[in-house]
Amino acid sequence: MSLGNQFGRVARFFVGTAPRRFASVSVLLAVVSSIAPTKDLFSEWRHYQRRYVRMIRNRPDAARLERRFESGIHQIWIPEQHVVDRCSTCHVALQEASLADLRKEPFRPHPPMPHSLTEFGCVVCHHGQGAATTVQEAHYSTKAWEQPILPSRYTESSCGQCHMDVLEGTPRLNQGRRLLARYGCAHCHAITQPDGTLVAPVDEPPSLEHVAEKTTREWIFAWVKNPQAYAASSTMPNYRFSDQEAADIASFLVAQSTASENSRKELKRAAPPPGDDAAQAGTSLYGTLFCSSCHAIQNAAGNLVGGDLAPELTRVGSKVNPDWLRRWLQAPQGYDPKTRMPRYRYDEKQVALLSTFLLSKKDDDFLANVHLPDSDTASIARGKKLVADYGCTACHRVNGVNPPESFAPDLSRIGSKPLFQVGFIRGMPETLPDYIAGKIHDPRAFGPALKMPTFSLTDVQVESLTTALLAQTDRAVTMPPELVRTTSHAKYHPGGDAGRLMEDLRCQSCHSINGNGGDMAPDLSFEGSAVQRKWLVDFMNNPNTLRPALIRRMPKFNLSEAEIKSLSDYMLSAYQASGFDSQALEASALNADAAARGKQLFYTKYACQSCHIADYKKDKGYVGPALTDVGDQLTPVWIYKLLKNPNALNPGTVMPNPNLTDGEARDLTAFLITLKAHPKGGTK
Amino acid sequence: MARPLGIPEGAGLHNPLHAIVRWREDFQRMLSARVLESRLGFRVTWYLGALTLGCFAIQVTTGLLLMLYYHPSIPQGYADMKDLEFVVSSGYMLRSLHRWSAHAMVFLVFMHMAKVFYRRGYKTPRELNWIIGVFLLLATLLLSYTGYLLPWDQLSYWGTTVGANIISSIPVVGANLRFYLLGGHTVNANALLRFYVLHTMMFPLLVIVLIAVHLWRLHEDGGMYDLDKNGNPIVPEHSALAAAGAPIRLEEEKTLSYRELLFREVIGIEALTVVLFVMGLLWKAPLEELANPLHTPNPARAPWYFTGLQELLHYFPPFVAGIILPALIVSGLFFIPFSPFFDNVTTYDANQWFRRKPIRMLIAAAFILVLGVLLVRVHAWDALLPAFVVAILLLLSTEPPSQPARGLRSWLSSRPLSFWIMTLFLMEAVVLTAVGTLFRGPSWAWVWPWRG
Repeated sequence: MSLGNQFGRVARFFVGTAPRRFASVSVLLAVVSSIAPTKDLFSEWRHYQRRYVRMIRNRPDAARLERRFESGIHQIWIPEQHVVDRCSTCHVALQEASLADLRKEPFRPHPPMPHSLTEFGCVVCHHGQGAATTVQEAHYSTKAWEQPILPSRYTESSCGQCHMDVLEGTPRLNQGRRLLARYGCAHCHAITQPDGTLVAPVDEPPSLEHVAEKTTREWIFAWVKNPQAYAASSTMPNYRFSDQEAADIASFLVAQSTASENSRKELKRAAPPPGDDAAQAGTSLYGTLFCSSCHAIQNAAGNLVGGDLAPELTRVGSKVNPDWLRRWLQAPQGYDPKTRMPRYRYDEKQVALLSTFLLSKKDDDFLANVHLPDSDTASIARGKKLVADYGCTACHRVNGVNPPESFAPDLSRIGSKPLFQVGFIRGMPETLPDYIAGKIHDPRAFGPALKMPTFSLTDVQVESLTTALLAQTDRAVTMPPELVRTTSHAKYHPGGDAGRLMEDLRCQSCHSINGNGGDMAPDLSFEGSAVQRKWLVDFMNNPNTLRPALIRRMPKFNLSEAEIKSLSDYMLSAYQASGFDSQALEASALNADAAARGKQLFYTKYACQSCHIADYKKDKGYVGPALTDVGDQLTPVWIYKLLKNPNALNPGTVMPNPNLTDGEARDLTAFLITLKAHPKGGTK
Repeated sequence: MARPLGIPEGAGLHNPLHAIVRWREDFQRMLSARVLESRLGFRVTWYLGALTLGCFAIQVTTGLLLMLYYHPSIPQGYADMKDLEFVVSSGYMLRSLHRWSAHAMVFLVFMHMAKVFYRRGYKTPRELNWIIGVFLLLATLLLSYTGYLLPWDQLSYWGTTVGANIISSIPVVGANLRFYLLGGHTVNANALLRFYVLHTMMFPLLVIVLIAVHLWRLHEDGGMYDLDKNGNPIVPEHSALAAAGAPIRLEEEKTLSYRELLFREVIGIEALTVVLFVMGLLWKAPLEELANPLHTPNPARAPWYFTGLQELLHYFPPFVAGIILPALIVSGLFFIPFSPFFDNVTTYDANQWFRRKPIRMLIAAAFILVLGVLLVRVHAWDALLPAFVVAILLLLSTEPPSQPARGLRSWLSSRPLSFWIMTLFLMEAVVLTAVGTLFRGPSWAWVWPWRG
């Protein structure tokens, strides 16, 4: 019998007659319709759960793990946040700390975190499609879901959706936010943060209204061409101007410059002492005045030494006009009323020495090859157009060019930018983090006509900035206010005579008061409760450092007696914390017996000397401030309360909470207030 | 009416067993015209009507199950799609079956209509059934269109928006009609609720009623064969007998369609269901991202059965493509069966329209000229192609019918005018739909599908 016949017989058996056809098709239908439910039994998540069950059998705590495991689809449902997370269907062991040794997903437990898994779910922080129950759909971009899992290096951005306070666990985010403010991103871009405030730039782009007094056309040309060639630490970005464009801008900036208030004053000049002595004296004056708290200078080894609050001074001698410098040192606000530089009360000799020192900081090669043609009106006009077009006035004040309005895109919701609005470069990974990072790293790569300049940033900085921007999601903007964790941003400016003096001294360039100001120096909000008047007066007369290991410290302002009195009166009355009346601590409790017990506690039970120095002869602790004259400096109540809960009075301090009893705290306070400066100044 | 079969003479009607027998026979009578065995073959109808009915049955079954999971609200409706896909056992299969059988139903309704039309099944006494059929076609399209919105993803949102915009191009009442349909000026939560009610209540009820009448007329109008002038069925087998002078006992040769036809059609429906299940296993019903009124996809495409219209909209102003042409098509479907001008033949082999060759030539030439000028003027190249194919076929058919009919030309020449109109309509529909669905990319520019 041939094969064809065989086939014919088989075919006839199944479809030979109508009832047979009916039977065959019915059986086929039954089989086909049962495939989908059957496939369900072999779904991915069931596979993972079966694997998990097999795996935990070999664990020491198998019985407990098995008891806690429930098969089936697990789900976290948070209606207010539109969250339906089924991630724990496969990631079954998220809450099983005993599996912490596992290295492979999906069974790794979640690292310890401050939030409850069931309260926040997964996608609020990690993104991805929470509702999905397959690996592909849950983790990656699909036709039905745009946002893939957030790469773990950017996870901190999710914290920033609610947290405006500085968290210990989010160094990337914190750095990114600092950089957003520091690199002046917000001069051009509006960025409304989750707490409703705008990112406020903390950089200080100088006013250019009188720039011709300060420097030359050649320097402006070289600077605009490549700011980092002059000062590596500069935050001024590179606009990649051509020589012609840079020359035009320099011509315009010089042409628009007007005379400053300073230039109309007569310059009192003291002749600097001649020769090496002057250089030596200038160098040491720069050191003792603590200019390096804010300004940095590159040392011989090429390292920057000093703070980053103010411009780098490595090549300042190649930039500034000597007379301008002298006037500036005497009265910075006479040149730029909005500068953060305090008005120091330098005498003429100090100005002469300082300027000599600063003018010696020069780099003759810097302008050696800059030869500009004479400026003409055409060039000036072109320069003005460039300054307007490139939004220079978003940062700098320039005569005749107004600050641009809505110059750059609002970035308040950049973290939720839909990908269809994103113009990717061909070949780059098409994800939002890659886009943001790429755009920060090299904006012009996205189109040569774009105006955004290139910032001098390291890869880590780009990653941090990307993290901070990814926090700007729709969720963050629409977050109910009660969920946003923030620090107070109320604008605080001290009033009265003392207030004007503090403004003149620019105290808030470094100190924060009532949530407003810099973070370089201690917060002064409760300074009146904390310190003793005598110490405060002495400190303002001659600021010494509490932490000798730091470069930064309070500069000497050369304040007059009257100014110091005004300031201390104001601070001691205005900057009081509530509940700090001396009633809280009975003076009688701080007797010699208590002090002896306190000393015992200090050295033995709590080993405070491992971080603090109570006695320079014995102790080696450099982590915390020296306490050798703390009895002169701080009020007993403050010491007592600080010991009870360090973080409450000094947020973010690294000092652990020692959990003292009231008695112990009293005894320690009694001991600490005995630590006073030697009458002859011997311990200093 | 004849006494029910199988009940003994004088048996009491109060006997419940007899009542059961009678019900069964009532049921048989309801479904069974007695028809000639030869008229029950697959080639006669391709069982297209039954397959369409099968699709509708699948739609009702899967639709009811889907309703257990679906909330017509935003964005819950979309979230329910995700639940069906990820959590509900075989949920994706429910969606896929519903989606693919909806497509199949639209396709089969068109096929059914074409088959009936070409067989001229609309002839007396079936005019009413033809009209009901046209309404069923429209109801099917509306059912499909209203269901398209319910997943509330990008695809459905913009497909519906495009459809609603076509409606608003009706003069005078268009904007209001659109407003009433959507419950607003844009596709939003109100529209979703209205479409849900229309899709799950109004149109299904309408379709069920129409199907009932359609089947009742089918039963009343008898078997599927043409009738002669006297209303007697024309059965090709019998013409030989008649020629030989043998007696024809028509009633005796008839058999119950209930037994024969229904059984075969059930097998066909089962086979179709198998195919749909396999399709569901191979291809999931599409689901895109949550509808985003701010993000218009490029191109925003209507459901496939409207892409032909959309393609026309690309060429003609909305009033022409959205209203005049569809109105022409629908009124043609209503009108042609009752106009002797379009359909002035009584048998397959007698062509009575414009016997004179020069007139036919003239008509063909004028037809080509007018369509050519019109379509070239609006650059409607893909609409031009079928028109020219039909025109060339028309020219071919200028051969006068020869006896006996042989060859393509004489077969074509014996077609009535309605044949040509239907053929043109179907070819245009197929070409425009194919182009609109497969060959159109961003900004409705021509794109080869394999470059997509």
